[in-house]
Amino acid sequence: MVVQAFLQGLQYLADPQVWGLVTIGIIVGLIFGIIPGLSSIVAMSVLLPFVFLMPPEIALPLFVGVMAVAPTAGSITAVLLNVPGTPVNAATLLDGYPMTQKGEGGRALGAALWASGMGGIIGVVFALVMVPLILPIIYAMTSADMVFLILMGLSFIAVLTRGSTLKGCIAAGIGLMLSQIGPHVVTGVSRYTFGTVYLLNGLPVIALVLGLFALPEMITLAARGGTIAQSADVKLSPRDVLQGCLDVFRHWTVWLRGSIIGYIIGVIPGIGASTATWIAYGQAKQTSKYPEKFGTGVVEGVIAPESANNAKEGGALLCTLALGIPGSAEMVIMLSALMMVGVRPGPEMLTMHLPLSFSLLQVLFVGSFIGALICLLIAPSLAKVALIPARILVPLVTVVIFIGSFAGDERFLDLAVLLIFTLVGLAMKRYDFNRPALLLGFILGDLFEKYLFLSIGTAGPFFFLRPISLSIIAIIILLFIWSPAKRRLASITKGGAAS
Amino acid sequence: MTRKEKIYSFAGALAFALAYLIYGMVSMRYFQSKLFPVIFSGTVALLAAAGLIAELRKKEPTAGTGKAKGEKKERESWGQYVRIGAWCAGFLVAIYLIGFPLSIPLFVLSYLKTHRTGWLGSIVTAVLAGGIIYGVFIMVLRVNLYRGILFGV
Repeated sequence: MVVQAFLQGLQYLADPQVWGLVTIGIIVGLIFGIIPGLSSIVAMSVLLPFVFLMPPEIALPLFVGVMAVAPTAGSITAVLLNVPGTPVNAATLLDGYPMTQKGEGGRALGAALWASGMGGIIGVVFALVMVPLILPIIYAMTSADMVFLILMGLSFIAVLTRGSTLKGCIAAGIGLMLSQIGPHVVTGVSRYTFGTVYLLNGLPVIALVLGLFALPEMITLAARGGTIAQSADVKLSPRDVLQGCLDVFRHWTVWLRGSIIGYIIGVIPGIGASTATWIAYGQAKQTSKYPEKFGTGVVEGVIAPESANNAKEGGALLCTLALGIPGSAEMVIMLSALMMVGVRPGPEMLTMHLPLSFSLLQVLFVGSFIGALICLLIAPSLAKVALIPARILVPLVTVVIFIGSFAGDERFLDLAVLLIFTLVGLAMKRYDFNRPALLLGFILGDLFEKYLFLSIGTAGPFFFLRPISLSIIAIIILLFIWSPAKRRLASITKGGAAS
Repeated sequence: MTRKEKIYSFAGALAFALAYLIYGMVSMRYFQSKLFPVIFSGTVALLAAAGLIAELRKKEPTAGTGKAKGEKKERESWGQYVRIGAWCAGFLVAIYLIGFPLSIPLFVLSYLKTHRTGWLGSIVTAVLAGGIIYGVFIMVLRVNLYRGILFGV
């Protein structure tokens, strides 16, 4: 059955429309990935309104195309201009830019792009191998397990992502509260509609996503002004770039370890790619024969973080599709896209929609390769994109955001919702509240309530007394007590040592 | 983030959760329908209250410490946000009055012109933006763009 689904997934890819959209996704991902201050999250938010009428097998590859190239493209400015295109490329600066200063920019770029592209590919291979292994668990899951799976996803995002746990939990809780607006799944009673027709179907997802993520980034970019990178006058010799690519093969153990770290961190929801790249960099330094040279421009310092930043996408995508637990903020947007095109993420993706899941992984595989290839061919020209002044970029992207909010349901009030959530997004960004946690709570809130009522209805109040549910509950408890326990243990050890 | 900002952020979350909780309890009839809104908003209110109390109990840091000064320099001020936010609000009003087709080039043109761009560059960019939006959203995606209360009806 798995092989048949895999082949059916390949059949989806035979549709030229899919490749047209993947190409658009790759181009948008390249542009947003390379411009510091923007990211794949903003790119995916902006693309969300374009897909609401498309069938899932055509719409979703667009997002995968963005995911496949944005981290790769971000390394171009990191290496050549000392400005990371996306936050995940920050670790690449440490050795990438010193190499450029030493006149080895081409080599650094070749190594970064090839390591990133190949990291993406190996991440997908790991994910494909994992599918048959997790299928038996998926088949054994019931609605009771789904209740705790959703709770686990929210907990991971709230606890493990940047910022305080308390604020993460508050953000997730507010998301759950907002998901309650609209009709109740059991009684059909309208909740929090204030007697208006507009809120009868709940808050519009597209306006909420664009308001939380895209417009606040534009406003911040406009407030900052100017261009982030100052000069992109870079000349690269093809021979140097090729040497960098060959360096990846020469240091294949560094690349493989980085990819494995990236994949594992991608599978664990909420930790994020930035952590993966720093861990990969750290292990490459620790295991190196000359760790003291790291930071002065060694190629392993470029290969390790870059292999991790793209390898995590395969793991994160699998986790999002199979369990409905997004591995990163990008995956929360992906989850929104899945819901928008009528696909419910979670076990159904590996049962009813297995061919679609395979086709998305296959797109990620090919997209990573194509993305790396495009970057290698036109990197110096791409670096110039980072020089577009904010004053030109801001009005153009703002217009697309406004139209995108309106285009979903063609209601003017969606624009008001957009502005309200822009304020919320700006406040959350400034006060360090977790925006992906809010969005995830909003998206999963309805499902959580539905599964809970279903579980109580079918199995009674002790519906959670099942092995899978109890295991997930144990993980959630561990997650919350782990950090405080570790801190307490550290303070005891420190106190003991001092006395 | 300063202590004052932390207090404001927790107080804001608490006020929102309490308003949500009270409205949910008062406005909904059935137990089943009000159960989750009450649980969610009650939990958020408790968490926000805990955060607020923890912040209030902390000692006031010495004014003008190096860290606080550094933080202030790094971030954009609310004034800058308000200035850009006013552009967005103005764009919304323009859409409401004259609709998307006219307000898009107008917004792009006026934004670029007031941000040190020459007339030629501003006009070309505005026309291009309007044309691309028209092509993609109206011709390809068949979206019925809002035409405003002055021209739409």
